[in-house]
Amino acid sequence: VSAVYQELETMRIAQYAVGLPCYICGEGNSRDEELCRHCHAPLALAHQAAVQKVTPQMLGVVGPAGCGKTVLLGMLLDLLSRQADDLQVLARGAFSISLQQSVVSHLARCEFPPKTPSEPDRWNWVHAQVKAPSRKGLELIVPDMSGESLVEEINHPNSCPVVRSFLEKTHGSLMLIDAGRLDQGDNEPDFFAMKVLSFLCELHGRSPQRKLDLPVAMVFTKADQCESAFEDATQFAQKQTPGLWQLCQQRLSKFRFFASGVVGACAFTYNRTGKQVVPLRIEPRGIVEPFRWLVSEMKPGRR
Amino acid sequence: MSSRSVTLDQALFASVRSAKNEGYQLVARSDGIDDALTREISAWAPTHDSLPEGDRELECVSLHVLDDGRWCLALTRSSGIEYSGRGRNVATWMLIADSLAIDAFAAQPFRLLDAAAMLPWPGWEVESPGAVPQLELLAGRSRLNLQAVSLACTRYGAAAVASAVDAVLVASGPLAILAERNRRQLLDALLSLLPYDRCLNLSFTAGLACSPRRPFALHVVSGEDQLRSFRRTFKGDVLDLRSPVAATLQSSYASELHQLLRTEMWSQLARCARMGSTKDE
Repeated sequence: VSAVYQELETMRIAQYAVGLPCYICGEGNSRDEELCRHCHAPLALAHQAAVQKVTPQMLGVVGPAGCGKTVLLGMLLDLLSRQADDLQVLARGAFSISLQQSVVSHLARCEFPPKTPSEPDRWNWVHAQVKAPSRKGLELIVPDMSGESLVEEINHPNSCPVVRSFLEKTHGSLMLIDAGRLDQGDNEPDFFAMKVLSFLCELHGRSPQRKLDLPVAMVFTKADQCESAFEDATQFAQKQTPGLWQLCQQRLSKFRFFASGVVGACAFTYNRTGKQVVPLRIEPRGIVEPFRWLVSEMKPGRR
Repeated sequence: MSSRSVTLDQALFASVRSAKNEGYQLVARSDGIDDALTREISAWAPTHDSLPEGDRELECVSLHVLDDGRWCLALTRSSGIEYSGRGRNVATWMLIADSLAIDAFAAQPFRLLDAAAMLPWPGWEVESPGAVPQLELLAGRSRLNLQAVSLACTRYGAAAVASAVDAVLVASGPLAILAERNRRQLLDALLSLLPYDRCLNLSFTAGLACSPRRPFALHVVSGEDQLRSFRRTFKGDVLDLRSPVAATLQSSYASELHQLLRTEMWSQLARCARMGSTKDE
């Protein structure tokens, strides 16, 4: 006599008895949901993390709107996913390739990618495996956050919970500062970077007396507009961002200044919607170095 | 019909580079809007990606019910180029109505908008933050836009209009009504016909992109893209008015309303919506 065991149809609902905690904010969700109902981060991250042996770590890319977060991140992924170097990035899941695809296709058409949406459900999230000699089995989660959402959360705490939840759990940060604006005598990027750094210290519960051991790579973006940033990023920081420089000395134990540029030259076009900046040549410089430094400095398994 | 004067706060939310901030913020507000309200509004307010593709030239109307029951009635539209040069600036004019103002306009947001539209507005393209005066509006008690109701019945049929009212009344979660054209007029008709009490806390939008940050109770959407976006974001019920709708009504109010609309007894509609019943009380 042979027996056939078949799962009862009603057992299908048993899985709903246990919620799926969001990987970013930790709140419970139904397993069928696409987005966390609390912070609106994709639950695909939680599904993927659940089947991985390695706990993914979080890397924050922060900066104001228009400083070049999307372009830098997309270009970084493109460079590291194509080269057979000691440092490589492999996307986990199809959704992790969208950012790279968007940036590369826009730049190929001599366009910058559109402004990142303010709604977290429309951000590009990257979950990738990093192969580096200094770190074995590193998994990273990196969202392309909207600069305006970051500003919103800093100015009005808890207005954008995903920003707070994510930055609280970061294991390292890339802080982007617009070198082109600094070179033109605009000190807003300095003030903004100081705000973000103070915010990070606050989130990680560090008092002003104790230094934060989170590695932070300060990257002067659009450095193609001012060669002095490339020549010596630290000296550029001391001269152009004295407030940030002082704050780093006092609050951070691991930081370094870098300079990067994605385009070799830009031009202006005038059309029905007004004046727009377009990239003419793609000449990435200083894209990988900050990431390489961060990977070597990030502590494993801090989560 | 009696009329009375009410005062409303107003604000403009748009993207500017100011001394304090860059990006979307309240660039102008009247004295009654404090920091707490600014925060609540900012968490919800539309930004650069809030107007669906293809709808950019339109003016979207939305109503967000604030935590204390006040209304934030908003008109959103593209307004020039953003300060950064990256795309269009999406500007939103907001009116804050307290319970007095809501009652004065018989809980019909479109009558409030009609009254506000009669006054001069400082302009959509405010370059730098500043103050705007409070608005003083003369309110009338009539909430019914008979023309909008009549046109909605002609376009979609009395059964469809009654079904839409019914769907709003029985909905337990977000609801989308799919209509290809004149969404604002359809919404005006629905709010004219819904009972007063239901309108008090009915948040809605006609045109803003679906977002978890803006959990409106009622979305009037057009096109498959917007419908997909609604389903993906809210997983709510959908009433499709593009094809003929059979009147399978669950609420007795909607059934009675259907009779009035079908027999074109327009004179009884106003009383019906005011009382929440078609019967004399």
